[in-house]
Amino acid sequence: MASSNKAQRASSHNCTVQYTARDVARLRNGAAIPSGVGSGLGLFGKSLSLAQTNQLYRSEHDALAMRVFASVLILLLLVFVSLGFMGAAGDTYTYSYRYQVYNPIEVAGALYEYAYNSLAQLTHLWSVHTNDWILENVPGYWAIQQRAGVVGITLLCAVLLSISGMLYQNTFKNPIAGPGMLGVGSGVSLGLMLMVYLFGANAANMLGMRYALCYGFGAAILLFVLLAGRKLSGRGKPFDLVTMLLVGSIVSQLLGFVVSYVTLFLMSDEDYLSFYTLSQMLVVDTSAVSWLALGIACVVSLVPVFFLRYKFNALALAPEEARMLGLNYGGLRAVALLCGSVMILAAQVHVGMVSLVSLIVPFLARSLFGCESSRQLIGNLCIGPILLLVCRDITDLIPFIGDGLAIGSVASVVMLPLFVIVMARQMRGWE
Amino acid sequence: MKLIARDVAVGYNADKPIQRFVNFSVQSGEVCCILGPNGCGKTTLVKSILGINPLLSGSITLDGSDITQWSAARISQDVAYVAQRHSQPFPFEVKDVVMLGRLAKTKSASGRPTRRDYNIVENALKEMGIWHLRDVPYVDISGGELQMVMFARALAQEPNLLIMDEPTAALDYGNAVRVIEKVREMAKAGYAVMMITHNPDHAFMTGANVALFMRNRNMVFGSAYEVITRANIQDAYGVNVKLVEFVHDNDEVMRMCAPEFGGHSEKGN
Amino acid sequence: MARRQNKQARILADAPTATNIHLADEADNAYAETVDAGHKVDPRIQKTFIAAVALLCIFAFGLVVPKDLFNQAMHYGGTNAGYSFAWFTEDLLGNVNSLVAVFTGNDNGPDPYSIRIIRYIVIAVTGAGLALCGAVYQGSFKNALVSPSTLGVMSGSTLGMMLWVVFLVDDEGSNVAWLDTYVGDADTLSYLWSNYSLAICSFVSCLFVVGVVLLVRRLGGKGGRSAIMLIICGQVIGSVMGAVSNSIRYYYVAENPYGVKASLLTDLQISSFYRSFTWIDLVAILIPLVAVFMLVMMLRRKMTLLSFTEGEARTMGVNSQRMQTAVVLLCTLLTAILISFCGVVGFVGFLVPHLSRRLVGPSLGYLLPCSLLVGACFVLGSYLLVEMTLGPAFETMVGMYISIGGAIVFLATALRGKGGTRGQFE
Repeated sequence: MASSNKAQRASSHNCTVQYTARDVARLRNGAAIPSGVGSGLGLFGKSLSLAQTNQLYRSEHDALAMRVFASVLILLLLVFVSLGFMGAAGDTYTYSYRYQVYNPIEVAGALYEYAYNSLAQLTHLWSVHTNDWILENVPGYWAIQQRAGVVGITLLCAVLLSISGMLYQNTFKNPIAGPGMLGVGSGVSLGLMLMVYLFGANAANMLGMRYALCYGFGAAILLFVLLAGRKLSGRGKPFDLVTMLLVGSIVSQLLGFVVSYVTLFLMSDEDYLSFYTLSQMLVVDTSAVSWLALGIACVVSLVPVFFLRYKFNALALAPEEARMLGLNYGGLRAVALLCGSVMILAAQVHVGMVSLVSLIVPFLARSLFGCESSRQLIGNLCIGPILLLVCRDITDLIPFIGDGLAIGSVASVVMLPLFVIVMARQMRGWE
Repeated sequence: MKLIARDVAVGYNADKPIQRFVNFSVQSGEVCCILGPNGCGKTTLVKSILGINPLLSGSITLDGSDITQWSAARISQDVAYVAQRHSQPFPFEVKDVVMLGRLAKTKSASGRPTRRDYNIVENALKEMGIWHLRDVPYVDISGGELQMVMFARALAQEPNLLIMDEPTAALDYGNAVRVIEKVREMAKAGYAVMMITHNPDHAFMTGANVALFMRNRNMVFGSAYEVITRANIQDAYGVNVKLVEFVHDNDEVMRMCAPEFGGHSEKGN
Repeated sequence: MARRQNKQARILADAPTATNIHLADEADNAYAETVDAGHKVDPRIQKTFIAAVALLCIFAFGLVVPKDLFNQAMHYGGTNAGYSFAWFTEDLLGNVNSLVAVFTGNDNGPDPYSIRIIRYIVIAVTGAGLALCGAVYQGSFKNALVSPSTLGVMSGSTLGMMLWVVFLVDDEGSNVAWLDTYVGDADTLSYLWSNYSLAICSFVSCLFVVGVVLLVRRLGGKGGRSAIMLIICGQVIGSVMGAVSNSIRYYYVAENPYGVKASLLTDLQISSFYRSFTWIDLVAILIPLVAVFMLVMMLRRKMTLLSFTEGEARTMGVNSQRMQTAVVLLCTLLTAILISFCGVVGFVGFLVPHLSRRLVGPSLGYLLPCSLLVGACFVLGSYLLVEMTLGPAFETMVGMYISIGGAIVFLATALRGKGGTRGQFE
């Protein structure tokens, strides 16, 4: 292969390309000129150029499409398994057993029934089925419906976690700077601690206030860290990353210790239990308020990332180099950090502290889907939900005292062999 | 398209200019070589043109409008820059690196490449002779090929003015000659090229105008044949040269510098 | 311009042969050197010396000044006799007398004063050791964000302590009797076991965690060779251990919120310096610290080479990968020993090297002793501050107060100043 490369190289260097004015004009207009051929091809050359469109990226796009297709299939399979294998989600209407298995047909039937009933209630176009009818004809309807809520929130939060990890790793170019490092997660703990301290066990029911406090504190800390970074960098330069990281990690350690102190020593043990339940989200909240908050956070953070997904490639360059390519490096970095922080804030509020997913999923996505940021983004979208859904199923199937295990703990243990495999196959994520 | 610099002073802060009264111009189809000893402010000058450093005094105009007032996005429409050193934090593929050059100019708002962008990237890769490397991660290629990748990225930007900072610095002789050949082709194709270089022969090879900085902070601008003289080289580098002129087989007349060894003063006078 | 001409004139007068204008550049420097040669002490050595003096001052201060001022003031302030300056000086003089008595010797057995001295020395040594480890980590990983907890040692220690509570503590809270019989009749062994079982468990668990990290890295083959992968492995394993500890704690608290085990688990999670130290502890901590310090100072030039690429370092005779692993393992062992004896003190290894780097620069020969001394000052000072204001009941929480106080101070200085951390480890 080396010798043929050399031969190719020699030939391409030996040929002298004579440029005429017509060639220059065609170059400027974006027509494809086959190499080594003069301008005499005329119309034939032009038709060749049409056929050559996207030849450059054809293999990449094909591979991407195949991988997305495979991931969607796996994800659908996992969703059906998760919905059919009822773990901790009980059937509150019929008080069925803890471990109940529904086959995929029953699951599909229940989902169809849910869609049908919701539409019927909204539009009154056809009759709503009564509860007794459902009890008779659609087994496991309520259990599956509740579980679908849990699964939905898990999938959304997985997307948020993995994309925020990707954004942080690309911005900081430092593989150990996870999204929790700007201290946003500790704001959530602080909010929850205040809730439980003030309201005791009732805190689990006051949804609106809980979300307001958690999101509020998280946003306040984020602003604080960003302002600190801005203040300490010079005029016209982008935010100083190392300072922001230092400030963020100090803030998170500080708040972490304050929260630990209060929860371990100042609170009674039952309050500590409810704090732990809330902060690790042992019971996933699937209420309308939760969906609304999560939906808003998703829209606010994912839409800018989606629109800028091609420009995030420039985060890999030095700031001056990006500037010379016409891109606003500081603006891109600010958007990446802000969106990443909102994402991790939302994920922490709704699913609890899952730190390893943000570290490892971008690693995997980079290995499997490539470094280019638009493809890497799609890779994160595909891999994150699969992994977190597996963790969710394992968490809910293991019997544990109280409200169960925390998904963060299970995710840590599950990610470990995956991490070893990724390392062992020498997949390249970092230089 | 013409870039004119008049009485420019460059430096890092206002009371200590590194260079003063710099005058030169570049226009389409021309090459301008910037020569001078180490530390005399060549890269600072280029950074002032690109808006990275502030301009201390004087004016730099592109087709009459003051380029220092332009935003980075506006500058990148007309000017492309090939830096001296490239960091490679991620293993991007070569075609992705070249596609980065299209981000400034692509018609789509989100930066999604259109068919035209793909064609331009393809042309740039083929022009630079790195089409066979398009799928290779750019951390796996040699220094010369990396330089070609950066040129391709600059070309993909469709600039009017191409600024290159010591393009042959780390290259072997063959790659350096190929780079100079590409510069000649680009000038013939209608680009304006500004090249910072350490080798006065490059000015002769590309038929360039030369902006030569001397040790005593003076500056001379003119065609290569006018500016690169024995006296000027002595003033700028402290080296004695003989200018040699010969004729190639294709009847092209070439002049080169041949340094004389022994008897140089260390600091020049 | 005028000054320069004056200098030129002076030099020309001194050295009439130096007529060439370009020699004036060298002559200027030579002139400066001859003037200041006798008086210039490297400011870094000065700062290190100041840190040592500060440590001694803090030490003396702690031994002499009466403790628990807050509580005393509140207590005595309630009655008619306020806590006046007279009481304060009386306490002070009493302390000074006891201190002198320690050195002049008395026959009353181990008096509380020598125990206190030992305790303060142990605390200072802990701070010094953790700061030293932090400085070595940050130097060898070339990353400003690592600390001794990066390799998961802290979570290993926490896990070890939790397992100790789970398995080796019966419901009354004392050590499990069956293990005592296992140990046998040897007196020293049972003494060691009954006093140090927690420390041993914690240390073994730390070693286990480090072993797992190295194993995972070895399993990773060629992909695991680089320093970044060591850090990532450490973080991953650390979070796994942390997850297990959290689950264990949650289990026991959920099962019996008022039980002994639950409160023990809670306390151990966050306390430091919770036991009384004897001179055995002091020796056991001091020997590793001194050994590691001497080793690291001997290796400091080679460690500086770690900041070059592996190829370049190899041509200078250093196998960068092996050196890095060796140095990191050494410091991890030292951290494990310190934490096992004293409890988790997490913030020092991260913050103090940054502070020392700002004082004396990144050169290892000055950075290592300075962070040693600054770390000792920092931890001992915080401990004394806590003891003095909040009283002896809160001194086990000093790890947390160090984090909170140090974080606030660091934030305040960072936000006020221009931030000297830029460009050092980018």
